[in-house]
Amino acid sequence: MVEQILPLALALPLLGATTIGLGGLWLPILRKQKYLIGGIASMLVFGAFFLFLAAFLSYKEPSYFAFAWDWIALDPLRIPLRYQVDTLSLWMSLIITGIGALIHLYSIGYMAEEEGSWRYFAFLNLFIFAMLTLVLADSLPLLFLGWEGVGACSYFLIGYWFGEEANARAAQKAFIMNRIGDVGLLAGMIWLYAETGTFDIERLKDYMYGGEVAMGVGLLFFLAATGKSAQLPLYTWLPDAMAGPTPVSALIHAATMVTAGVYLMARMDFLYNLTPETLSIVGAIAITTALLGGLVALAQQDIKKVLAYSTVSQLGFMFAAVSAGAYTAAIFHVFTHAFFKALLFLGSGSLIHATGTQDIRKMGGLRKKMPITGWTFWIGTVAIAGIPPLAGFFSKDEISAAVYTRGTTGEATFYVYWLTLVGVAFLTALYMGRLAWVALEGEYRGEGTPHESPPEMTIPLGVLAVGSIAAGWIGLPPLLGESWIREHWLSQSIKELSVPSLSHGTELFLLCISTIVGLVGLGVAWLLYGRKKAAGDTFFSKHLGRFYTLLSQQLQVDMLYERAFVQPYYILADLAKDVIGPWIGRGIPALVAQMLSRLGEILSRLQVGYTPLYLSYMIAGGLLLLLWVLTG
Amino acid sequence: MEVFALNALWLGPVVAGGVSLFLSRRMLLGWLVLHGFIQVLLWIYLYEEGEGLGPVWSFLWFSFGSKPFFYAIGLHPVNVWLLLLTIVVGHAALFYAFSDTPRIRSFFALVFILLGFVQGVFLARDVLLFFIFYEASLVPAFLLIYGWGGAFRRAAAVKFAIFTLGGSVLLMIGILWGYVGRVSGVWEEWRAMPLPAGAWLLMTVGLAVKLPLIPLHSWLGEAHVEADTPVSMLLASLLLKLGGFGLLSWVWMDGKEWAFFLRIWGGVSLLYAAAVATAQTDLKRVIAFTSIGHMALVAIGAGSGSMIGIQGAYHQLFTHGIVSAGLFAWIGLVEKQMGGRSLSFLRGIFAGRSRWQLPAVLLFFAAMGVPGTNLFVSELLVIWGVGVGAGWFWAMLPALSLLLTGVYFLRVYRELAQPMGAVQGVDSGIFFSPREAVVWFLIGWVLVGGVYPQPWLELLSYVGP
Repeated sequence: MVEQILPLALALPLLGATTIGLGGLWLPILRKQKYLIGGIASMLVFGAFFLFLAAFLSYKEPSYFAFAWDWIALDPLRIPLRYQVDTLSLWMSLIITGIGALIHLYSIGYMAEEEGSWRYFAFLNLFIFAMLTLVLADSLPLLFLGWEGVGACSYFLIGYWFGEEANARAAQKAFIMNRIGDVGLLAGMIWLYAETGTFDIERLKDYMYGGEVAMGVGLLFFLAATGKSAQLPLYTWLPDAMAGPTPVSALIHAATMVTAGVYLMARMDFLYNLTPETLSIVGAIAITTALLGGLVALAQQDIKKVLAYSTVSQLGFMFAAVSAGAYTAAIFHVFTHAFFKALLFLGSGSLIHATGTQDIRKMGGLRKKMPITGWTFWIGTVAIAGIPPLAGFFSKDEISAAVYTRGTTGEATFYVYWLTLVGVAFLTALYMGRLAWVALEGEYRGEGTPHESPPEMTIPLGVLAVGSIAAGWIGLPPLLGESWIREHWLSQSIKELSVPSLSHGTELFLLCISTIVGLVGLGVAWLLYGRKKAAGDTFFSKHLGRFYTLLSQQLQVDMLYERAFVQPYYILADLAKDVIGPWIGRGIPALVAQMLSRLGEILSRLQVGYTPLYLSYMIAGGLLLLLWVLTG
Repeated sequence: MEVFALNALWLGPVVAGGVSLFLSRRMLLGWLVLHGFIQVLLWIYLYEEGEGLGPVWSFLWFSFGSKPFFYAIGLHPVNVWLLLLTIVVGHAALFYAFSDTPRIRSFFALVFILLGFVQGVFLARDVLLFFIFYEASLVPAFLLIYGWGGAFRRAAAVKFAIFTLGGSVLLMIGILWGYVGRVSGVWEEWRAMPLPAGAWLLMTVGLAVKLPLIPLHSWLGEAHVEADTPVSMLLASLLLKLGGFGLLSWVWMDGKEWAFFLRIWGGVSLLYAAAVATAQTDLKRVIAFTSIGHMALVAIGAGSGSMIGIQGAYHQLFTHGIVSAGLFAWIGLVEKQMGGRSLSFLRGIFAGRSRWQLPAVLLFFAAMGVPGTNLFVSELLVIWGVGVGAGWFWAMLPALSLLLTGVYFLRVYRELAQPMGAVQGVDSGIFFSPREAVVWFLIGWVLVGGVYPQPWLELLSYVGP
């Protein structure tokens, strides 16, 4: 079954990318057929989705598929084009192609007025292909191919309007920060190879690793994950990446690509299970990122910036789950988050499309003017705030339960992590409530008369809204039933760090906390922004003072990096070019010249113009030559 | 037949060079196509004959005392693809130059002769013959830089000659030193035992001039920048390879002893080249320093302490040959049309010109070592080799190249895409100009080598001490 499905499912988006890309390039007439281009691109991704759905329905056991030829084979080394279809990779593929197809459909409407939409759809299709390669690869270099491939597509799509300097800079920054992580991935992968002699993930599982290797490789892979999944210290590219078209933000920078780091760590569960110390480090970074993202999101006025920092924060949640060894909870949150965050981004795209601005201060009252967008945006908000029975509640609750459980095993720091997560959950409800009330309720403060978007944009919103409501029901907490995704699906391919299960009482307590925190967050948001009409920002700036200003400036981390790394490197580069370069250019020839003239001086002492001396040189030379010939 | 084919690989271009002095411009094109066709046929014949392990032909040339010197040429897994590289890039460069190079006959003659000598370097199976060809290649290269190109080409050519000759002196002494304790300089014997430390050091430094490694690189910037575009292609793609090939084949065949020395030297060179490339404002200079960075990876691979690293370095010789020729061909194309190549002058040229943008993207991404391009394969092998031979920490050094080349190529790309300074352009029609065809021809090699590198790697598996 897989033998037929997998190559086809991989080929469809690749086919779209090449035909649309080359067609648009060589036949400018085609560029005008926007609906045709968008239609083909969407159909192909839908096709891939249905293929994966068929594979899902007939799934029995993990299967492998290798193309007949290897990518790189240099005896005795082999990097086969080998793919692994197990429950984890299949689940990720379903998310990628499912959400991806909806966003392709949405893009037809969103990009209808764009001249270069052929470029857009070609890269969007190529992204789907690269992302599928990433999650399905069984060989680490093949995974790296996908990993860099999604980075490249992300680069081109962030910089889609490359004429604007800000966009081009954002794209460049994203790619370079990702590449810092990529160096970690490469080094870790090579280290694993040096230990085991293989790159195949399936075979890597069978080796016994020393603690040092497991920890070193684990941390290098986590470095890669911080780049791709926007964690401290490499997260600053993600808010800037919002320069790209909004559907791209929804697909790449919220639902799929940024979760690749989580996927990588879940895939490498066997390494992380060996060294809980590594996981504690991951936890500390994840928690800090989650908190930072939540705080900064509270003070942003750009609707996409709020959502971007929200994504950073939610990714922190996922890594917190990883740090507790609960990889299924992390993937479960990837799943639910894909729905509501894609919904929120597409909703914000619809709002931006209608109002022509991204500033929430110039929106307001839009739910009445754009009912579908407005109501679905509310659904997304409630879902991410963690209110039962919507999707976000279940996955977040599972994460906080997992972190809490790790605390009960004697690692007291995890209690701190848990407490912080609860705080961030409150912040999530607060900043999302703020966003919804300011942008959707009250009076319209912008210009013109916004209208509801066309059906190709509202249909995906509807589908994603249904997902945002129901996606969590496949992962019920033990108290309410059985978690299908954990017990019956992901557990087949992921081995979690074993931790004791909680008593029913504790579990109920945690459930209540999650619910209350979400409700209180939304309640506070209503008090500050709903009831009193956007008075919240003044409230915060009055009580938080300079800290709030700092938050609204995104903590000035960009400036810090600029001063600490970028500028010094450019100064160093100038130094190399203007000082060291010329110095070498003049110095080496001068040195050689000096040496030669010194040699000449020495030799000139032999040239004294006394013939018998010259004759003796000749004889000595001849004798030496004779000696060499005779003995040689 | 084999003997004929072997000799024709290097003698053919030399003779062709002589003939082309007497042809008209139009006949030259036919001559170029015919010659290229014959060379490819010869190469295919030799490749098929021995599956790349190919025939060797040698006869005693002369002997001095008890030391015999052989005229020995032959195919070996490590030179098969480099021979093809010479044919491919050489003829592509001539095709590129054909339409509007002044004094076209002598230009063709010199390039053909250069190609012949380069083939000789790759073919030679006796160290002295290697050296003779290595030296001989200098003359046409010098004349090509001296005679065609920018305003300061003469100074650049003289600098090139002085540096290379200086390197050759060291190489020569090193080779003679290497003869101590050996009966002959035939491939098998030369490589059978390690060189004396002095010979090893002298040869390494001598060849490092050509590679080049800093601080011996300063001839390269000027020579590459001042030379005419086709000559720059040949310099970057073929002449640098002579240094790398010599290093790998005649000095670093076991690559174990003192390996860290070359690793560090290559590492310093890599970081320096990346930094200088970041600060450059002349696009051709950026590409020239990219070459230094990529050739530093060859040095690191040679010093990786493992066979994979050496194989990767050999592979890098081919892949970089293609990518650098493509980059120079591309910038030459742009320069010809826009009349300049400084970054500030070219800002915004991509506005409305997808036909320039796409090749640039592909070539820049290849130079950055993005997976799917051929340079990634060799960089992966080098990183892999260093990791296996010297530990993962050392592997970070070549891996850093991925990051640093990204830093400056993305900056260059961004500036080219900004819509300032330049007028909105229009894509040309459906058909390629000859220059565009050369660029795309080389990109084809980049992509095929990245997606399916097996033909190259199969042969490299025979590399061994």
